Amino acid sequence: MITLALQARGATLEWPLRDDTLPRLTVHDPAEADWLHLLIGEAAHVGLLRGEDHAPAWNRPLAARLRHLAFGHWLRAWWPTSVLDGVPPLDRTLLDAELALLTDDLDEIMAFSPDGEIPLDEEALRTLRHPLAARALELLGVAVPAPTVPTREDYALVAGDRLTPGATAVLSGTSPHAWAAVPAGRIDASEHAVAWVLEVTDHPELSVAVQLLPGAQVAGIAVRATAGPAQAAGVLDAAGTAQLSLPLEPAAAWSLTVADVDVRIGVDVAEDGEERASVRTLVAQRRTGTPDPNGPLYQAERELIIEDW
Amino acid sequence: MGDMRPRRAVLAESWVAASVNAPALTRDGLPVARAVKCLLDPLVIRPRLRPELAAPLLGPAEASALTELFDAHRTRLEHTSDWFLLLRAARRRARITDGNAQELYFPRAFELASLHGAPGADAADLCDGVIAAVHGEVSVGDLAPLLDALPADPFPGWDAPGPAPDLGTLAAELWDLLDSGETLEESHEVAVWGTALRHTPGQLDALFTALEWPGPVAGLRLSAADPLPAPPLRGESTHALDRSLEIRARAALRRAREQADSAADLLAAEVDRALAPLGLHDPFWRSTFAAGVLLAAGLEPLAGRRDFGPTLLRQVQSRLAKEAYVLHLRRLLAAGQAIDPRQEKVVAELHAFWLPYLNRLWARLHGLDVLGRSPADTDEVWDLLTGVARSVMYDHRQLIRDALESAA
Repeated sequence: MITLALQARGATLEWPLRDDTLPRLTVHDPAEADWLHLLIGEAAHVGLLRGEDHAPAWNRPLAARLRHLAFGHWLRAWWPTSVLDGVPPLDRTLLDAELALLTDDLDEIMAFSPDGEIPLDEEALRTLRHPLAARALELLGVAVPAPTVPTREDYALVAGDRLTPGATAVLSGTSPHAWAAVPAGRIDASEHAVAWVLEVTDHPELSVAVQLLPGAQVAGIAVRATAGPAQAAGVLDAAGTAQLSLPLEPAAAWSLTVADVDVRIGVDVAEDGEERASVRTLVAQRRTGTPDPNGPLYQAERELIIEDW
Repeated sequence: MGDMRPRRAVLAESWVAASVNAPALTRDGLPVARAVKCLLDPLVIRPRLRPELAAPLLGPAEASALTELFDAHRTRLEHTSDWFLLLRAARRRARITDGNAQELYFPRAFELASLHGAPGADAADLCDGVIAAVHGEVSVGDLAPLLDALPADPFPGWDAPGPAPDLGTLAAELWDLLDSGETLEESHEVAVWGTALRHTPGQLDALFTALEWPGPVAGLRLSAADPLPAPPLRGESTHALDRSLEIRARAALRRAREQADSAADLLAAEVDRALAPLGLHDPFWRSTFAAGVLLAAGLEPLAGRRDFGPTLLRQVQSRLAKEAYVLHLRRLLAAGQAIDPRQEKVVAELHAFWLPYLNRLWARLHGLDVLGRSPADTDEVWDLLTGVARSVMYDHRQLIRDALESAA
């Protein structure tokens, strides 16, 4: 279940990504969450403060705005940028600028909360050619320059060198990776971003190469592999590759099939491939204008349409 | 009682009823959250003087009282709004982007409005001065020779033997403070225990043993040594009670800079304060710190739900656990672990939450002690204990994010 969360002052709100539901509200501190009546009505707010049960009278438009903001935070982490699948990255500066402005509009609820401060990069904003940039700079309290430099860096999303099986290769394939297991924005979100080749010389060795996103640092991220009965672990180097020695007899390695090999990257977390597929579907559907409960397109999403993704 | 309403709703209506024209403090005609927290509450409503106006639910009588209060302050609030805009302009001139302008300048603008009324011809200069004072460094140059001039042993009798604390009573008192939190009473046992830390080893663990609960987290310490040594004159420290006299005096200087204390008086006062049990004069802040030790011993943000301990501990822990869960949802941590090797140090720190927590708590209490403040009630103690946990968590969140982004 993919969850959106927003930390407001004194309370956390959660929504399931794909379902059109009212938020699940956890109040950490009723005195701090002095804005609750705006969202659930005065009677429910009073009931909550008195420890009495009271059905909330939801302010649905406000709930929708809060959800849209939560979705922006989610986009920041989960947008499925992929060279292999052809999904360009969101412009992070533009997304953050919009998040900061939406947060400011909800200041009554977001001030003094963990999500109340969106860190903005002044320099990046100055070179962003978009009307939101000037408004975000205004928020920072700095003088707004006339934008001169073109907006985005040219994200040259070109697939890097994939592993080429050599003469000693006996088997090759790709593995999916759990998005939650690795930091956002480093590894291509494709199901085929982790390529491996099994080579057998004196002893079996597994070469792993991960498709990186431009500029990503991945050195030190864990790699674990299973090949039949054998297991091996290591870490990625700066190029996103790792060589793992498999404790296997060469003969046993020769008899393996693709289904016997599993390579995992990052922290050990449970994540369903169907969830990743549903994220790809969701962001693609939003692009084509299919309404969804997470609100209108962010400017950073819209920009990708203009650029004819 | 049917007409009690949420405080914020009442406050907004009272503001409108008083028709204060202070656009810099409002949005859509209503005071913004920071105007309430940083200006109206502490400087106009002043809950210590008017506790009935600080309750989360207010009735019609309180609504009228608020309207009268805003009405009585109308001119000053309108001038505050003008001063705030000038302060913000001065901030831009000085190219300062640190901190939140409303949080920093609302109280200053109110101060200027109180002293000078409406901004006059010298307003821009005054504002430049305020900005420099808010963002400038405190000069502590004259502290060094004073530290050199201290006697070889500034804390005579530091570890003189004394009575043993009744740990059962102490544990029960602290538990009550964190659990029902009904009344705030001066505790004799806290003072005895605070002094015993200096002459008898093992007092901290003995207190934890006296509590019958599944905690505490491993490794909690108040000092690198046991028994607790006198504070060093200079230098940085790891543990809460090892803070050097120099650091204490600098902090006191920052707090007291608007009073006319000389650095010599201030240092003498800090030597004296350091000799008090737990390094604090006010008995209620001592109890707050001792209760904070107990609280810290039960906090483990990455451990999910830990359903034990007194009420406040369970509340704070569940909040910290939720925060850690949101970090997971945002791909800043994975299942309570570092998601990038560069984060490992900060994640390890989260496991030893007690260390930054107690450091920050003691520093906060020390500051209040310097100002001669004392808590009004247990609510204030709980707010403080909770607020420090929140601040430490925010700091960690930023560190966790920075570690990721420096690597991205």
